[in-house]
Amino acid sequence: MILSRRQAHLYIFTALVVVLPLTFVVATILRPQYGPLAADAESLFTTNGFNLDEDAIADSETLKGKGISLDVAALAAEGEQWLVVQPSKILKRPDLLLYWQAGSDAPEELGEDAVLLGALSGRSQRRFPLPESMQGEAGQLVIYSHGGQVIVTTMELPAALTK
Amino acid sequence: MSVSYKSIQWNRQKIIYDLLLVATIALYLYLFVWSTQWFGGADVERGLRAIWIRAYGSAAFILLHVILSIGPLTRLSPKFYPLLFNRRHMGVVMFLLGVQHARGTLAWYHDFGNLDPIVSLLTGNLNFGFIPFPFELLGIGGLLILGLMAITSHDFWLHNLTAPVWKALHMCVYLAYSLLVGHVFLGALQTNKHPFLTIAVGIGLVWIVGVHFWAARKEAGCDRQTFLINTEGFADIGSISEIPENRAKVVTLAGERIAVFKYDGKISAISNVCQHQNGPLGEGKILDGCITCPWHGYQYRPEDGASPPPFTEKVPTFAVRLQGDRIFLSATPNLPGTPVEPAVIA
Repeated sequence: MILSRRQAHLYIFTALVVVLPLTFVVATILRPQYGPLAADAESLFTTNGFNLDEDAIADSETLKGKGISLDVAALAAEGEQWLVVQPSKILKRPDLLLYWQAGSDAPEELGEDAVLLGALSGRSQRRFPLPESMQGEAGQLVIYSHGGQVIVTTMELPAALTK
Repeated sequence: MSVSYKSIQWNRQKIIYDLLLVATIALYLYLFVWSTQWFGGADVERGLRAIWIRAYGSAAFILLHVILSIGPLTRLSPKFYPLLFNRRHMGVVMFLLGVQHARGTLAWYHDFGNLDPIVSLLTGNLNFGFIPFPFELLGIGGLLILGLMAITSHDFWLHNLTAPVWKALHMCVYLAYSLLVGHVFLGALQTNKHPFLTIAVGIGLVWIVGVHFWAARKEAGCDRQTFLINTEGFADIGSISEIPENRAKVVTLAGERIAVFKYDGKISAISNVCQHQNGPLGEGKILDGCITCPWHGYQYRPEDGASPPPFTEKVPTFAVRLQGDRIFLSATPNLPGTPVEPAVIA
């Protein structure tokens, strides 16, 4: 480098040797101490079914279908029966609905009497209230693609999980 | 130094250099993604694209540290000159890694809303207090500068802008570095509080500013040399025995450095500034009768400061006289390429 560039280099790093370490220290000290959620958000999570009372779980099982497996638990809480469902892996399709259909055979088409429980998404845990017609009954969980209008997979739901 | 125009003058060294560079980066990216998935467990599955964004960003940031270390390291030891030979390819690769990081960020964090991703990026955080600072803007600024440097890194621009202007433009890398350090301080370090990351970034910062500041001070010390100029315009710059055969002593006289070479029983002096990238000719040696720049191998004859035909580069020359063991150097430069009779060692 020529002399003027060498001088510029000296001036630049005389400034940077002060400014950058100072920025680093201040940025480290001042970084936010709050976590991703606060303690007062617990009730919100509980209301929406994200916090499970382990004692309230009557039974649980992992159900496997074609390419999809669900961790399913029967829950008694708030005076109601619930089915807690969480996909074991991320669901690749964005439009999946969960139905329950009576019977021991896997249906090829969605029946008229199929009960819509709700939507599934990603690995989100969902809690569905069990309608009376379903309680204590064995049947089939049907994962249905709303966009494709096809059954993606089915899995047998034992009666123990609907009590 | 080239007679006919070639966009890139590939040679064996450049190919090996580039292959090693690409292989090292590929290995780093693979290890980063693999280890993050391995240690992160099943939960990281949902964020594989986010892991790649971090892999590209960290690779670019580490490579920037490597690139900025090379210059000062050559002040420490000439063994680092081979790294400097193809540093520009390293810079272009770093820019491309930065682009991948930015593309991934736009697609992953800003592409699912009802705003254009660019608009979302620019307006997502307008808090210009210190924290949470819109660190993305610092990253954009750094990337734009690196882009400008990557575009103008070719010898075409070096030749047309002239070395001093080109070098000044490429010193903007220090501004880019500052912006990108801020991008990491006010971005990744705000949410990832793992001590390893904080310590690693801190060590990198201390190393870069420390080694550059040290090198700049060392160079400034060399530039503060003073020599007494006699009435004939010559200065006593030292003894012949100080200079190893085919090597030079570098002195600062009349505002710029001069390289005084000893070879074949003779002493000649030319400007220390290579015409190509202003490299330090005095740190090179005489090969095949020509002074050879340690940066990229540009060559000049010691007698007239001109490159051997068919090349056309020329640097200023200086008159030299000997009195006993002492070397007297003219403080007045001759026009580039002016032949000067070497001083013969008795």
